[in-house]
Amino acid sequence: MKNKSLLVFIVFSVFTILSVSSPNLLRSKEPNIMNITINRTGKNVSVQFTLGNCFTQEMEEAILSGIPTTFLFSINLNENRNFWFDKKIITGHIKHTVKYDSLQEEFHLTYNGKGKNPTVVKDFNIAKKMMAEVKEDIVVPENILTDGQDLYFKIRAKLDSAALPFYLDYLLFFVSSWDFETDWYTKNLN
Amino acid sequence: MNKNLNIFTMINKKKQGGRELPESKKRRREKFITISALTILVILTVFSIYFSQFSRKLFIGNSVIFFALININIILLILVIFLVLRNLTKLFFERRRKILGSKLRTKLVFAFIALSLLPTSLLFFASVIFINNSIENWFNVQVENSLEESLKVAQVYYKNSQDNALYYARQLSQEARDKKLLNEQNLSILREFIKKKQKEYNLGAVEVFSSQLEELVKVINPNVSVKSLPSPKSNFVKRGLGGEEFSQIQPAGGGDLIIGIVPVYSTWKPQDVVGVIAVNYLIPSSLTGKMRDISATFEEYRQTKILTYSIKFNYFLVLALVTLLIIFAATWFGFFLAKGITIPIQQLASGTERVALGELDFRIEPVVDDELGTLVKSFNKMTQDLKSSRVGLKQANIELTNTNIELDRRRKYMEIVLRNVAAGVISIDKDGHITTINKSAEKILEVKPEKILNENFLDVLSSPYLEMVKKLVEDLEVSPAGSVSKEIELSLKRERLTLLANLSILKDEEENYMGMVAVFDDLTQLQKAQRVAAWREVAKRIAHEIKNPLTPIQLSAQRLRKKYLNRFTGDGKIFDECTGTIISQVDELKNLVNEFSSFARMPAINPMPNDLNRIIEEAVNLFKGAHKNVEIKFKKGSDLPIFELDKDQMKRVVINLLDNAVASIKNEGEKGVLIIESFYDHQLELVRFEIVDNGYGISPEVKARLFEPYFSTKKTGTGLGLAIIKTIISDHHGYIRVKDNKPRGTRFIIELPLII
Repeated sequence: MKNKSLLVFIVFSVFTILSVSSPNLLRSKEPNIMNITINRTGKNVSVQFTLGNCFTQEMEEAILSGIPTTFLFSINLNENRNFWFDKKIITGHIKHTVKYDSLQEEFHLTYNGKGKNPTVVKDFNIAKKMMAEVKEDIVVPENILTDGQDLYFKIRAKLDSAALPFYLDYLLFFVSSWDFETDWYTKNLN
Repeated sequence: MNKNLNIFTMINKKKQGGRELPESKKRRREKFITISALTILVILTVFSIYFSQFSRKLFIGNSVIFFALININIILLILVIFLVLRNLTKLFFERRRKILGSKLRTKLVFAFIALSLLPTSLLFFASVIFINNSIENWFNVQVENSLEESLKVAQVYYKNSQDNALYYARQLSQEARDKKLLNEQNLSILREFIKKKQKEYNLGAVEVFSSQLEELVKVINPNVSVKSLPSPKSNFVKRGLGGEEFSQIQPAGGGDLIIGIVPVYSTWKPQDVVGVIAVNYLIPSSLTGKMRDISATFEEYRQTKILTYSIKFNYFLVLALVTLLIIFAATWFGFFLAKGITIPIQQLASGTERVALGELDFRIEPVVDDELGTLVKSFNKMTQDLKSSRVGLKQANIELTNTNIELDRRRKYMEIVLRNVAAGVISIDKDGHITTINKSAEKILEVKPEKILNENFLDVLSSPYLEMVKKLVEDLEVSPAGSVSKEIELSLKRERLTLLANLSILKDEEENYMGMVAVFDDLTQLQKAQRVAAWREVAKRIAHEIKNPLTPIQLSAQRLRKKYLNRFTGDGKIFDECTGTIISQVDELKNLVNEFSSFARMPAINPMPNDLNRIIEEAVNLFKGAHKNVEIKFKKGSDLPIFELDKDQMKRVVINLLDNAVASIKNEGEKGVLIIESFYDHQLELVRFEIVDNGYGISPEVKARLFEPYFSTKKTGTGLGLAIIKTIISDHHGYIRVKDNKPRGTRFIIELPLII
C-alpha cells in the first residue's frame, strides 16, 4: 500500500514535470519548415528553407527584452537504403542567434556558418526574417553524387534553450513556454 | 503473564528465526525504492542537461551545482517521504497490534509533526506573501519608468552623437567642396583645414578619403585608437563613395566611436562623389559603461518581468521543497527520537515482564548514554541484585524446607508413635487448653477430638472427673518428680474402665512451664486377664481338692443306701432321702467340679478347615422348635470362606450364646426374635457373626464383668459360660464384643480372622 502510494506520487511528479516541460502543448500554431529548395551545381548543393510560425508573442517580448535567442537547424544528408537503416552521410548544425541591443536599438544577428558575418539591423521584422531564413551551401563528396544514389535531406529546427536570468534555464521547471522543436522534414536531393 | 511471555517469545522467534521472509521483503522493497529514487535522479539530470546543453557555457560550475542541488533536494525529499511513510505505516500496524511502546511513539511523532508543521507552515505562508510582495515591488511602474527614461536618455545621447557626427561631416564636406580642397594642389590646405576643424569641433578623429580609396588626411585625437578607425578599403568608405550618408557606432578603446560618413561631391558635376569625409566622435568609456549598465539593467528588468511568474514559482517551489523537507525531516527526527526513547522503554517493559516471570539472567544492552541509559544500567544492576538475592533466598528456602521436612518427619513420626501407642496421651498447654489427643485416648475415653481440642480441660470434664483431675493436679504441683501416677476408674457408656493415669509437667529447655501431658493405660483387659488366670488357678485347686473326696463320699453313700436301706422299716424313709440327697448333691458337686475342671483345663484348639455357616446351622437346629415363643432366624453369609477353626469348640460357643439369648427372651415372657447373621469382610479378611436378641439386655455394670469367670446373673449359673466362650474365641485369635441392640436386647459380635 505504501509502495503503491509512493509509486503514484512518483508517477504524478514525473507527469507534472513532463507536462510543464512540454512547451508544444501550449502553442496554438506549430512551427514548421517550408519552402525547402535544393539547388545542385556540381558538387555544391544549396539548401534553402524558411522556418514558419516560429515567433510567438512571448518570444518577441523576450527578444526585445534582450534575451539572446537561438534557432538551431539540423541538416542531415542521408542515403535511402532498402531493407536497412538509412545511412547518414553529412550532418550539419546551423545556429541563428539574435540579440537586441536596447541602447542602440538594433538587432545583432550572428551565425555559426563559414563566411557568414554578423549583421546588425534596426528593423525587428527584418531581424525575424533573417532568423527564419536559411540558405546553406553544402559541399557533397563527388563519389556520392556520381553513384546515383537515392539521397535526401532531413531538416529540423528547434529553439535552443534561452539563457534566462537567475539561471532559470537550468531548472527543469522553467523551460520557456515558447520553446519548440519541429518534426523532421525531408526533401530529395535529385 | 504466561500469555504475554508466549507472545514475547513468539515475537523474539519471529525476530530471529521467523523473520527472514518479512526481512527479505523489506530489503527488496528498500532496494526497489532506492533504485526508483536513483532512476528519478538520472531522469531529472538527463532532463536538466537536455534543456541546458545548448545554452550558455558560462558559469557551468554554478549551473551544475545549482541543478545538482535541486535534484538532490528532490531525491532527498522523496527519500524522506519514503522513510516517513514507511515509519508511519509501521507505526500504524504496530499500534494496531498493540505492541509495547507504539502509543508513546505515536504521541512523540505527532508532537514533532505538529511542532514542525505549525511554525514551518506559518513561515512558509509568510515567506510566500513576503516573496510575492517583494517581487511585485520589483516591477512597480516607477521603477520601470525610471529605467526606461534612463535608457531613453542614453539612446538620445547616442542619437545626438550620431547626428552631430553627421552634421560635422556635412559641414566639412560642404566646405571641402566649396573650397575644392580635394584637388591635388590643395591637399596641404585640406590638412590644415581638417586639423583646425578637429580642434574646433573637438572631434575624435577626422579622415578624408579620395574616390580612389586613398586616405588623404587623417587627424586623430590622442584618446582614439587608430585601429578602430575606418580604413580606406572598409565598407564604410565604399558606402560613402556610393553617395550614402550614414553614421555607425563601433567600440573603441573601451568607449564607443560614433562614425559619421558623408560623401564629398564634385563642384563640376554635383552628382559625382570625389571623396568621403569620416568624422569620428568618441564617447568615453566612463560614459558608455554607465549607459551599458543602464541598458543591461533595463534588459534584465524586462526579462525578469517576463519571467515574474516563473521566478515566483521558482521561489515558491524551492520554499515548498525546503518546507516539506523540514516537515518530513522533523517527522523523521521525531521517529528517530521516539525510537531512541521508546526502544529502551520497550526493552525495560519487556525486561520487567521477563524478570517478573523469573528470567533473572535477562540483560538489556545499553544503547544510549543519557538518563535512559542510566535507567537501563540500574535495571541491569537491579536484576543482578535480584538474582543474587534470589539465589540466597533459594538456598535459605532449601535449608528451611529441609528443616521443615525434618521437623515434619519428626512430627509425623511422633504422631505415628502417639497414634500407635496403646497408651492414651493428652497434652494441655500452659493455659489449660487441650492441644493434643491421640487415637488411643480417643478410643479409650470415647471422645471426639474436634469437640475437645483447643478447649480448656476444666470445661470439658464433668464434675466427678473434674474433682479427680483437680486432685491429680494438686498432687502434681507438690510432686518433686514433676509427675504423678494414679489408678482411676471411669464409667463410660458401654463399660467401666480401669486406667493407670500419669500426669507430668511439660517444661522447655529453659525450664519454662509449657503445660501438662496425661498418659493413661487401659488396665481393664489386663485386670480381666489377671482375674481369669487367678480364677483358673482357683478352679484347678478346687477341682483337685474337692473332686478327690467326692467319689468316696458318693460311693460310701451308695454303699450305705444299698446295705442299710432295707434294714430300716419305720425310719427308712429318712435314710433313703438323706442318702439320696447325698448322692444327688455329690453329683451336682461333681458337675460343678467338672465345670471348674474343664474351665481350668481348656483343651487346646484343633483347627481344621470348616464351614462356619454349617456349624452355626447345626447349633441352630438344636434350638429350633424347642422354644415356642422364640423365633430363630439364621441369615447366612453367602460368601463365607472355608477356614480353619475348631468345630466342636466353635459349636459350643454358638450353643452357649444361643442358650443365653433364649434365656434372656424367655425371661421376658413375650415372643422373642433371635437372629443369627454371618458376614465375610473382604477388606479385613475376617468372618463376623452376630447373635441378636430382643431380650432384656445387659446393663453397663454387667457388661464390664460379663466375660469374667463365675460372674453370672442366673441363679443356677456357674458364671463360666461366657468366660469359656471368650477363651475359645481368644484361642482362635478372634474377638467378642457385646453391644446393646436397638430398641431392646443384646447383640454379641464375634470376629474371627481367616488366618489363625
